[in-house]
Amino acid sequence: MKKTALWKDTFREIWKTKTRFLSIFAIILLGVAFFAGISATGPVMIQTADDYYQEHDLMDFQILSTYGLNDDDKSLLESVEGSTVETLYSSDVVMNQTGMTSKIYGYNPEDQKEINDFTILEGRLPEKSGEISLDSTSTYQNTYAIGDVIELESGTDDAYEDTFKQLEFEVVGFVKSPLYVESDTRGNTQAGSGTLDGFSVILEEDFDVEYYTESFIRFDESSQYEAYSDEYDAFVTEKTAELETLVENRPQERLAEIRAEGQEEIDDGYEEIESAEKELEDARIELQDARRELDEGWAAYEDGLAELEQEESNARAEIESRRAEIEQGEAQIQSARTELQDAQAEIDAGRYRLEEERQASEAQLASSEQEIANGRQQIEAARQELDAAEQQLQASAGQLPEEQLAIAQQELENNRAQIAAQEQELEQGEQAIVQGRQQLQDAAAELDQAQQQVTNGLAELESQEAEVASGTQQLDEAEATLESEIANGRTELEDARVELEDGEAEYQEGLETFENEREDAEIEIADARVELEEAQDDLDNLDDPEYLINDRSYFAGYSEYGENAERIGAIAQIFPVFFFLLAALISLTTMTRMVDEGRSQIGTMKALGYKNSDISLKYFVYAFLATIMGAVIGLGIGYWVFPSVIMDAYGSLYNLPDIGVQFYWSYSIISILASLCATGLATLVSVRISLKSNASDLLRPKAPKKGKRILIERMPFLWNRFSFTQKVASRNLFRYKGRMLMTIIGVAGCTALLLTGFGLSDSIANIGGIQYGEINLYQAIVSENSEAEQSDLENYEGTLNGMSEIDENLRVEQNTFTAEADGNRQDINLFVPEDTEKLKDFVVLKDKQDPEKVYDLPDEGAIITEKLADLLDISVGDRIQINGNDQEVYDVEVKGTVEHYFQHFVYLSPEAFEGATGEEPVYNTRLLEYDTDEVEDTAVGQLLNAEEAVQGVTFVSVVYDSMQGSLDSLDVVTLVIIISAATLAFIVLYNLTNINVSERERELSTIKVLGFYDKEVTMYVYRENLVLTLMGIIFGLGLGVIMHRFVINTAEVDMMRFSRHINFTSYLYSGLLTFLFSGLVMILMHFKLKYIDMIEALKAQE
Amino acid sequence: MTAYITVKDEYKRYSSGETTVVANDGITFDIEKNEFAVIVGPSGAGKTTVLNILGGMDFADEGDVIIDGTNIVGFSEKQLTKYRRDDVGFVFQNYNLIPNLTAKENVELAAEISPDALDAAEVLKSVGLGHRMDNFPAQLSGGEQQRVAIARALAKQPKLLLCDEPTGALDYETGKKVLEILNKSKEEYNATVVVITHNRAISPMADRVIDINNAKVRSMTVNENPTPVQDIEW
Repeated sequence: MKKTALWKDTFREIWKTKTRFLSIFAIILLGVAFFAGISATGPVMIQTADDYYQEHDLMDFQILSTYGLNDDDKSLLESVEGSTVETLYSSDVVMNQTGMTSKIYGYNPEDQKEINDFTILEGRLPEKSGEISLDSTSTYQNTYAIGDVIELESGTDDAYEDTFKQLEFEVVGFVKSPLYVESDTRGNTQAGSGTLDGFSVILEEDFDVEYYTESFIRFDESSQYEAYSDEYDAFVTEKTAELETLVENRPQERLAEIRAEGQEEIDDGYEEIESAEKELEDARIELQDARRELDEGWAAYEDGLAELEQEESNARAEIESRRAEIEQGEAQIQSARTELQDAQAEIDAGRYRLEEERQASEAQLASSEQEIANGRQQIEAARQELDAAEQQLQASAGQLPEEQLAIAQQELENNRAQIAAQEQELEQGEQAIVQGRQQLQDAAAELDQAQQQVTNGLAELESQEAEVASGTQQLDEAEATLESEIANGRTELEDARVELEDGEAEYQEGLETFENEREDAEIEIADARVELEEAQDDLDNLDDPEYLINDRSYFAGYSEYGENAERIGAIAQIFPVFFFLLAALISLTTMTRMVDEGRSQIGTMKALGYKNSDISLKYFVYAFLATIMGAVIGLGIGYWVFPSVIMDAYGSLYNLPDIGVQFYWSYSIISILASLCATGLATLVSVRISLKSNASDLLRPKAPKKGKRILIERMPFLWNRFSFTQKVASRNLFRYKGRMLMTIIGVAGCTALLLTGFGLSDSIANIGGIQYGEINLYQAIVSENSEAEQSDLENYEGTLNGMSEIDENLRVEQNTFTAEADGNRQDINLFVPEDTEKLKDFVVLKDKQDPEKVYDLPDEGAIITEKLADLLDISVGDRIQINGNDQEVYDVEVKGTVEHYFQHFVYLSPEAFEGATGEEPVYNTRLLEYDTDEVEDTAVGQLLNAEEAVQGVTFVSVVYDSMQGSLDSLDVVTLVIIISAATLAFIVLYNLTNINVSERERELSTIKVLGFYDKEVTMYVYRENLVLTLMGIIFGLGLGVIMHRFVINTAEVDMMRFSRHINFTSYLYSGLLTFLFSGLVMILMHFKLKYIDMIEALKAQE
Repeated sequence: MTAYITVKDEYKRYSSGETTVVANDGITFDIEKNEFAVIVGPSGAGKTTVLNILGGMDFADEGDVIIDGTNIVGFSEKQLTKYRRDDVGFVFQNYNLIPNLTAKENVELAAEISPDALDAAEVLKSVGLGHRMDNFPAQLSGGEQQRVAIARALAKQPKLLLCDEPTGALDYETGKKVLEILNKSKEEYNATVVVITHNRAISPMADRVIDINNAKVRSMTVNENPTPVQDIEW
């Protein structure tokens, strides 16, 4: 090149003015690094996440059904083209030893895991039954180690035995899943404390459940779109619609299936009950039979016993009587013998007497017989006479008179009768003899007979005695027989009794068992009946199952991460621009100074005949070289430092892999072009003025700026009060108006940046505390099952009232609806407290403008949260339309807007709710207030989650932590901003002061020579700088407030409101920090000033 | 009685790289109190170095520089500053006024830091600038500016008034006027005035003339009867 000298000059200039070159280089480097770095951070965050999602096949949709999924669902989903489907089991559990909760997923090592692929951090995935891999949350990692055995405990009423085939699992590894990108937050659960501590993986076969819990679906097409991008969102919207159509009919089908199955089960149940009842009845009958049999047995036994006794007594009586008889017989025999002996003696006496008598009688008889015979003869003689007399008479009978005849007859008769009577007497005597004889004979016979009789009697006695003997013997035998028979009988009876008693005992036992069992069985049956009735009821009232199609945004971590990236993107829109402006400003000042210093050279070159373009080339080369070097290195640093520093902050919050350094053409080109524009323009502006002048003017030294009176001097009352140094400083301030402005703008910019940074931190740090410390005063939100059984509700109420640690509770209807006004639409929480008086202890409705003013809920109209009012663009007095979930539409007037930071709320009093909807509120939520110092959330959670009427408990502390955790990471961004702003402040101040000092070197040397101490010299310059800095700070604080507002508005997401409030300390810190940098620069300058060569400076310009 | 100012065997060497330039090579001279001394010599003779050392703006490498009984050689930077502040007034060839300050303020600037300073207005009046006190340097002529500079130097009642080519940038008439003021000041302000110049024509008006050439004192002449300024011509 021809103009070698020019180039040489340029490079020598650079070498000579290293500081100046470096200051342009540095400011550009900083600006570019900041712009490119912050701008790239959002995209890098997204890309990192997207790479991770792609690599681990993050699902696009999760499909759930309120009744679980069955094989039909599975195959239906699998029929979707261009997709991969994974249907699996899962269950929320509590781990026994630690009480930690976990969502256990089933996993099949045989299948290629094609969705939500796990990353193994340590150990491995389960390979056989009884093994478990845990989530990599710090909670788990700090508690469990590989090899530990985890035992599951049922947190709810459902026994885990129903869900799992076994309850003990050995930890074999730690894994992470793309579904959970947050490090430690896993959301809520119905189990245990209510906070999910992590997920875990066991083999599918360890599950013992009928239905799948969830299904994940991933479309091949989704890999074409970057996560969080609009394209992906559009794709999701399209596929959601497709999937909704796909499962449209499933609810009805499932309901029918379930109804059929359920009915069958219920019927089976009833059958079972019936059979149970029948069994019971059978048992009862059996028992009755047994009773009867026993009773009969007893009766028989009693009879037997009686009979035996009767028989015995009869037998004994008979024996007794026989024995008596025998004894009597014996006595009789005895008496008979005595009698017989008496009789014998009598007979013997009789015989003797008889003999005597007979002898006497015989003589008598013989005489009698004589007499008789005499008498006979006489009789005969008398008879003959008589016969003769008769015959005479007979012969005479007719002759005699009758009377004599009758007398004679009579006399004859009488004589006859006398003879007859004598004869008779003779005969009688004869007969008496015969009789006497006979009598004797008879007596003899009689005696003989008696003898015979005695003999007979004796014989008879003999035989009778024999008889008695044998009778006795017989009796003895009979008695023996009787005894043995009775003994036998008794034994037999005893056996029978024992048997009966056994039977009785058995029966009693049976009866008891039966009674017991019957009671249980009856209760069981009754319960079963109630249960079945309920089941029937439930079945009859069964709603259609709901099929839920959740996309990725359903997973809080996923969307939060996106929001974070978005927020950083928003910050990238404002801060870097500001940096650029400051960089341009610095370049302008620096280049102006450079051109000023090069004045005589420009003149010389002009005089030598160089063209303007040649002359200015040097300055452009100088500026551009500094700029390009600064920009290139800035890009490098920016892309390298910012995303990784910011991601590092999120690193603790998210499970994502470290990011790589990404290069973005767009940001690179923008930043290089913009910085070239800035310095180029600055150079052009500076050079033009000098080039316009002619050579001779330029060769003369630039006249020092003339001193001028300043405005305040015209105000003597003020001016006169100034000390000399103040006057000097004031005048100096206004002498270099351009630099004054630059300094103020520069300092103001830095202060503004700092304040924005601090303010951003405040806005973020404050909201959690304000939202959950000053606005929401409650500690827990209990979702109640408003359709719970009365008894469950009562139990729950009892538990709640029994928890003395809970200070207060408030019932609330809370529903997620949408609110609409002027076509703007937002999701809101409709909030209707049961007791509006009590509300202020739970939610403070502070007016958004006047925090002193606290609203009461009006009987008509709604109080809404301010962000909602902003988004809907409405104010007090306007009306909003609230859309319920079932297409119902209410219209309410807004009566007030209140401070609120998280989500949107529409507060209605029960009266206002009724007024608007015509219905009574259904309270489904309860807010609890308690002192967290006194009772742990987990304790409250465990107690309440055990209640049937409780659907879930959400703890404010958990919500607060997760919200704050994510927001706190933004603090790093803030820190980055603060550090960058600080660096910028330093560079700006140093640069400006440097220029200031070099421009006034002669002046400063003069005062040095005049004997100003080093400190005084520094103060001479710095008094001005301090004033400028102070002005800059004041101006900057104002600017900062505006910038802060702007950044907040940009960075804020719809669902959240950042606090607009900047803490006093932030103003203080921003100001102080700026002062600090100013002071630092002062110290640097102090040394620079100390070594100013006053002799050189004061040398006359020749 | 020793002299008010005694410079004895004073050396000053500047080294740049391998070459060492000896600026003052064993300079020795005395100046009595209240004298008007002129140090004269060609450019590059080392007279400015002498002035710088005398004024406490530079260090001597060797020798003694005793001002009113105090040897300033070996003074620290801070002691030198204090010495400049309390005992020395400077007048430069190109005035070195602070452009942003009025004439009076320029004087005040020095007066502010001096323990027994005179009233700025009075001093300005005494140099004949009573009417230009509130003018900025840019509004003053060269002579006027130099007079302001002298006033600034005198205002703090220095023991030593050091003037480096005070007339160098002035025309003849103005130069003479300035010299007259300087001369007068030794009486009015009881100052010891040292003027450095290459202009030998000034020498006759001095009480003492020190001729420096090639880093050495060539001669020192005490002028018992100095020529009044009006009679000097160049």
